Amino acid sequence: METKYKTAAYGAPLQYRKEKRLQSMRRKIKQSGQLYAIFFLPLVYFLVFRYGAMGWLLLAFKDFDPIKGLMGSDWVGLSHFVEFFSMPDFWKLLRNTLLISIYSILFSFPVPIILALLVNEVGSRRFKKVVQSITYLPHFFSVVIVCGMIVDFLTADGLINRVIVFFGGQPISFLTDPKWFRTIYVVSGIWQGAGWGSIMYLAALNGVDPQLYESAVIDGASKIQQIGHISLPAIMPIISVQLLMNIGSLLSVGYEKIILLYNGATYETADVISTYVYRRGLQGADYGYGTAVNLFQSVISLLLVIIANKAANRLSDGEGGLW
Amino acid sequence: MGTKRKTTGDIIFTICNYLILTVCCLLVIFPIYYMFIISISEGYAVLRGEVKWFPVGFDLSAYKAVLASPDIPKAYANTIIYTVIGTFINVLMTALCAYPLSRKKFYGRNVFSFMIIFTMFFDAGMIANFMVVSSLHLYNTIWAIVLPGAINAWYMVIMRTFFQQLPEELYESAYLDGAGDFIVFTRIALPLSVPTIMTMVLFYAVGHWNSWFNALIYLDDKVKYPVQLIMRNIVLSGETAAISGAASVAGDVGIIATNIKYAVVFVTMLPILMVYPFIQKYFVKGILVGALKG
Amino acid sequence: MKQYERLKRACALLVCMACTTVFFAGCGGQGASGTPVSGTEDSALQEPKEDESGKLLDKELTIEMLVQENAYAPISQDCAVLKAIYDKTNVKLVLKPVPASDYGTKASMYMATNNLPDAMAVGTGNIKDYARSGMFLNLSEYKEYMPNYMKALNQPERKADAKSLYLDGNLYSFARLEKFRIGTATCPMIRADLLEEQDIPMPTTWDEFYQVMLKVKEKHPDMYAMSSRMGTNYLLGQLAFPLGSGGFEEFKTNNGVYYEPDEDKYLYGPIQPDFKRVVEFVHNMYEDGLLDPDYAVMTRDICWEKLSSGKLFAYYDNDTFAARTFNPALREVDPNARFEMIAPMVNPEGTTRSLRYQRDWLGHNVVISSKVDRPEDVVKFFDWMYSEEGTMITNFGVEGETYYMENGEPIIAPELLERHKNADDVISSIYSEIGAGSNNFALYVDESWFKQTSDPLMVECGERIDQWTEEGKMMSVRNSLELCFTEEDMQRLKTLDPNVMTLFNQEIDKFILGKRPMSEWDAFAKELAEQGATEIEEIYNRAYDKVKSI
Repeated sequence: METKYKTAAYGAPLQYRKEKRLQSMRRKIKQSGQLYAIFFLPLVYFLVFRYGAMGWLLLAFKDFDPIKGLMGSDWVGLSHFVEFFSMPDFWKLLRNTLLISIYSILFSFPVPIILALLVNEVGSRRFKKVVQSITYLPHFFSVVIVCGMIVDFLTADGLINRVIVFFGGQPISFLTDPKWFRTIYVVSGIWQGAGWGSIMYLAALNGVDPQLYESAVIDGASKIQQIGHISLPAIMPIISVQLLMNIGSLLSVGYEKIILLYNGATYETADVISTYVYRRGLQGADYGYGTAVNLFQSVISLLLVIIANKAANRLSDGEGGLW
Repeated sequence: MGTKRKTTGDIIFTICNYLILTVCCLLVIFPIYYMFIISISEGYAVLRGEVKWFPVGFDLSAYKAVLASPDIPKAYANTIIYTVIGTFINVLMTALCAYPLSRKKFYGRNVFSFMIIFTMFFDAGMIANFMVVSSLHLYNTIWAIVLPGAINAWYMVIMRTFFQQLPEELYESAYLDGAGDFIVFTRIALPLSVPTIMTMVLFYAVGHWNSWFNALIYLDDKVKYPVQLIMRNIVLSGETAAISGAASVAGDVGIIATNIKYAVVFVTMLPILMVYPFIQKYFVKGILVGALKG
Repeated sequence: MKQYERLKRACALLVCMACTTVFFAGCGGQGASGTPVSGTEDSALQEPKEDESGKLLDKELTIEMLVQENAYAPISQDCAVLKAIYDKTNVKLVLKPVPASDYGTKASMYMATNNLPDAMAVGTGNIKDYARSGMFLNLSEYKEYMPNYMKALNQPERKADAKSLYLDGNLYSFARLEKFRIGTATCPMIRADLLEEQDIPMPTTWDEFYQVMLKVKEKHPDMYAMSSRMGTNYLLGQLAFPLGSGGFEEFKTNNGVYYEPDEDKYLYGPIQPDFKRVVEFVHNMYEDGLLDPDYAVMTRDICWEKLSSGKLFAYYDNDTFAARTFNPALREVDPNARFEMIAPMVNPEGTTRSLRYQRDWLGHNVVISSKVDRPEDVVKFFDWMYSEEGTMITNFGVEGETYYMENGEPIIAPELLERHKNADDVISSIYSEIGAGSNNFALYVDESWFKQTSDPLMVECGERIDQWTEEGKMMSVRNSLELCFTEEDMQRLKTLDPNVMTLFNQEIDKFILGKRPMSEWDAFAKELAEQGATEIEEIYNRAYDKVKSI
């Protein structure tokens, strides 16, 4: 009896609270009614095109046979994963992958921001236009072309070495020395991506009220102070989400550029997960294995983003994160 | 701006700034200049590596060779159609997605955001996407090119951030006037986001212009191919040994000169470059503020 | 999956040379299509002649075929060859061109989604991956419909190699075979003018060759002797076999296994004692300043540049490069400068041997979808391409129109040659117009007319290569054994191969550059063997035993 009474006593407020929550939920849903209508098409898109395909991630646990289809193919359990983790040098590949990403974030990530801030300070509109138009050009070159140029410039008698020799230095074997690989990768990435990356920040800087700068000038703020107190805060939200998303792609270093730049002599620093998988793929199609590797990368990426997002939300009172 | 007296520090800053940017531009432009002079130099001189600082001879035959392909005009037309329609759908969908997610009152906003960001990291792969496209009967149609990538989650997040940065008071007063979210979205959020929208137009348009993979996978007929697919074939001929055949066995056919390769780059790049100045117009400081006051 | 069927049946749209006339051709014989057809069939292409006798097939048949399209040889549906094929066989061949650069990806997409066109060219690896699941027509069940193909396969000179086309004893593909081709091989080539300069005779042994290189280097210290257009392993692959070892031949820069004729078995080159000699040779070249320091990283373009501008004075690669590319470029600067071929040289073991490219294109395999409606007729048609009539049409087009017979030999019409004489690549350009040859879809390839357009040096080199082959100084690269491995062995190779290669690639340059002493080579070879090279060797020989027993 006592127990019954207890439940009843606790039940009432519980039910009440539930009701209350439901009510407020209904109210909130009602309030955002038009927002749902606006959101409808994008939602359908994601459900159909992105989630509609997700089932195929099961390939990671299957021995894929196109005739039998996805569901008909035989289950192989975790064997693709076991194979992946048991490859020799797994840790070396993981280390190389992470290091390339981390260096990219450390060095490539700030450059477009700095570039945008500098361009924003340019008074002459024509100069500004010229700078913007030029710096974003390299974005249009394909990997093959860029890597062809890199090799062309960096060989023993390439342009860079000719310059080094001209100033009395010793030619450097950039392309066969593992020490140089990450530098080449990151610097060429900056060359190709900085101008393009700065466009977004510039767009954000356009939204800043010019009066803010004017009053800052009246207050005697120097240019550097203006950047620190007005411009940078204005693009901070963009920087924050960009950084979060970059952290999510720590493990996804593509193979296209690396296979065009590396060779046996630089494997030590250049060989990453995707290039290894690529070399293995030369032995024949293996969709199950490929999906397993992707799945592994995806899970790690998601975990990283969740952690980073939590941190970002905490730092910015819930507004700086991705969700 | 120039009416105020400048401090020495600011003058030094400005000079340094101009210097740094000029050096950056030179660093970027040199390799491009180099490619350009190669593309207009005489073939054997290029082969012998004689082109260093200035073009050797003047020879447009590389451009002629590139443009001679009978498929090029049609492919260009296709690319333009895909780019225009694709970009329109992209920007519209991205805005439709980003706006609600930028509103704090949108119930379920975090769940939806997470759901979308999840797709950034989990991609089921080529076969899966193909299956979706063909089960929707989109295979070999323009929709297979423009729909599967309708929203780029990354760009969507950026656009959402832009929307979030619009001053909250604007929304508040509109709501007080009894406007619903449709009105707020179309009359306030969108017009105030022109620079953002233009950024998105640029990003998506260039993405469409440069893309070839979806066309390869989802299109069946040569007449529907975009120009990048054809240019790629020129640039890569000889570089990749295709499965077999005369060319790859002897590694011989299609000895493509470097000048042709670079001519391809410029031929494909030019049209989209011309879009940029048009978009740049909207990147003027204070455009937002002007709208606010008006 | 129904909808793919329907889409597949939805018409193949092909553009003609001028991009103006568009033919809409339904892929017939598969019943009514649910998708609206956006055009009518062009009557010029298919006057109904079903009743006419003398055609290969009584009933008209449409075959849709995926083909590779080279950048400089656009494929057109409106060409002499396709019309002639229709006239003779009643087959309407609808070509679906895919850019050669991405053909592999597109082809795997069709296979992975089980959505094949009626016929397509695939690589040996694809047959291995998909044939067992029943995706391709098993040609062995249709042997009576393909007498010409079987006859060509069983010719004595290709019989041994053709065995490697069978998977579990079944034949799944029409391989592209050679009827006549100007011989090509990778050969040692050297700047003859620089030898003449010092009155040095052409070397006949590998030791002499090395001495010759040293002498030229002494006179021209700013030049290097050799480099590689595809990295270290490509160079090793060129030198290994002639020097008495082997591995990495042809373009197999990630496969150290090779066929050793002396022992009639497959060996993993790098773990053989003889391979040390090869590495030493390259290492010495590096030490003596003969090897271009960029040999490991060079792109083909840079390599070409150095060969055409006199920065390199020798190479071991296709003989044809000299005639087509380097010599004309060199001649502009120095009329006397030219590369010439060195005859196969005696190696330190006292033998003379070298490799030439595979005779046929046994890795270019046309497979038929197992879902085609009239498999017998489809097989009959592809077999016809190996017949006398089919070979002539698919290689030369129409007699009296695109080619003429002269002294029993077909020659391409002079007006065609005249029209294309200014093209970058005359041969591709002509092929492209008439729709013939290996650039299109010919399966029994006769390239005898190339003599009409090629540089005489190339023809001469080809004849010498053929002669050396007869003398036994040169042998063709053997076809890959890919199809002969068991399923388990194949899985094993997928793991072993990249592992061994990663180790090899990582260390090989250190030996060449002297960062690791040659005294450690034997230990390294042992490590490779333990990492799996020996097991790879065993797997290959198991497969080879199986082939021999067919």
